[in-house]
Amino acid sequence: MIHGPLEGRYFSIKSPLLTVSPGKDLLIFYLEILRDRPGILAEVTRELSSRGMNILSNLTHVTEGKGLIVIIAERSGDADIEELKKHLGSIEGIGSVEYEESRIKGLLIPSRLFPLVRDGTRIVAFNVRAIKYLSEELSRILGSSASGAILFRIGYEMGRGFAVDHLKMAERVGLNDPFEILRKISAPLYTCSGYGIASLEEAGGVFSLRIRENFEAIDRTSKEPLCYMTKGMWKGGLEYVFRRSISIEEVRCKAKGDEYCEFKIEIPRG
Amino acid sequence: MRERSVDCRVPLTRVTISPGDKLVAFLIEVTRDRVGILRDITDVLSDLGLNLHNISAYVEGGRGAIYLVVNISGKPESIINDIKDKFSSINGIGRILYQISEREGLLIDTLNFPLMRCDDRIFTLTKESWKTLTSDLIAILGSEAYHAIIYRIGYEMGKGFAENYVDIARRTGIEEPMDVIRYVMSGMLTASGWGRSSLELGEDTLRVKIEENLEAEASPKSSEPSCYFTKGVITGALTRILRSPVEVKETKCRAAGDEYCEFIVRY
Repeated sequence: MIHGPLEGRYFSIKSPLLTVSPGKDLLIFYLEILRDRPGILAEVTRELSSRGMNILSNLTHVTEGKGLIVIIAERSGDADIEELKKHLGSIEGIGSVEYEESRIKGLLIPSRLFPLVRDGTRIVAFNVRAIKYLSEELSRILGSSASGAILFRIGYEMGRGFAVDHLKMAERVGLNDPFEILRKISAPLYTCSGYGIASLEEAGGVFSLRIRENFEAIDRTSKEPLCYMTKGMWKGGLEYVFRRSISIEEVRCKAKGDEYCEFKIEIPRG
Repeated sequence: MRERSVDCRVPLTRVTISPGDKLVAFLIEVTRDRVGILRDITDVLSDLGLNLHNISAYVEGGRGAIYLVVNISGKPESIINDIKDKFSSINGIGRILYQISEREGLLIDTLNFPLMRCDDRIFTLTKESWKTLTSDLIAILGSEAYHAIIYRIGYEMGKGFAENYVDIARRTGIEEPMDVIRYVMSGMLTASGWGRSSLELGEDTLRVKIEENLEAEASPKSSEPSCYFTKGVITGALTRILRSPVEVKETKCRAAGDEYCEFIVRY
């Protein structure tokens, strides 16, 4: 459960996977933290500032005293980067230091931040607009109902794949009840994975799944609910977790002008 | 002695698993970054005798956010407000949100939403999910129909990705299609987590090498190249960038026992 104002909460930890800063010579430093200690980041940033390098962003991640500092900076004309690297490596608690320079002014796409992970599991990232293009093209080629059916099927299989992960996670923390898995793993992971802010309510055996800013409805308009892939994802995931057939219907959709997308879910008693 | 390389795996999304522990996550807005702000935050936790599970901080132009997960096992629930009050009194700190684990030992971050890459919203998929998606579709459709459909999906998504590549290129003054491919498309395949990608440009051919290609790693062993989705993505993206059809052939594939996947493009 989140505590605090939801409105305008767009401050977040960003990934340094792409930096666009026209006209600037960019550099990215990767510093291994072997032993974290107070002030280590300040010492690192001081080394760059003292050489006239403007730090555009930095990301520090530490778990149990070990971690990584990623710094994206603007190169100053006369800074000796190899000499800076040596100095950074000599800071107490810092291990190996590496850096990459932008291949073209103003654009930095780091090649070292690979693979992407979540809890040690490899993940892949997609731009939300790719879904819009995919469904619009499929619709243009096949017609809207065939396109909807394909997107639903893809979503269904994706949902089953998600459920495999959810059940593994549930096992690690001793969760067995499918309803608990749904509430405490499936819904928050939907948000955590960037799809939309999911919340669940139950009344008389019917679940209402609300999704704010759902990835499939973003920047789209329609007279009818159009989140076919989302509907498939939840049906596939729920059927895998509950081991029975469930029914799901989208009753509100942001693309239709509603405030959020909403799905009615009926799970027959097992 | 060879220098050890830095482990650059930064969590793009955050799930903390620590069985039996009561966990709380805080997302703290940094309104004015200054030297020592992180130390002030961690001092609050050590003064209260709390164990910090992990911490991430992001700052850009003097503003940013700090995300941390703390173990409050054995402490009263009221300690959360104590922590929040102490964080609020630190110079340079703005809003504070927190999330309590609903199941002991499991904290799935729902505070950092939406996921962003530069100015673009992104979503993620695990390798296991991809594996299930493809194996189930093969079981339902048969491999031939699956290959045709997954190629088409890749093609359409590739065209969508290319819109983004062209936009990034435009913002940085890149106009030549070949430069979009060289400087943006190749890097973005890596930055998406799909695979380590590199390019070699010939006169009328392009060689795309992808190491650790997720599609190949999630595929069953195969006697021939089988990365139909990746092939579709490359074809769709290049067709959009070059504004003309291209012919793409996968000549090496990790699923077929090669060291990496390789695609030869004729344009």
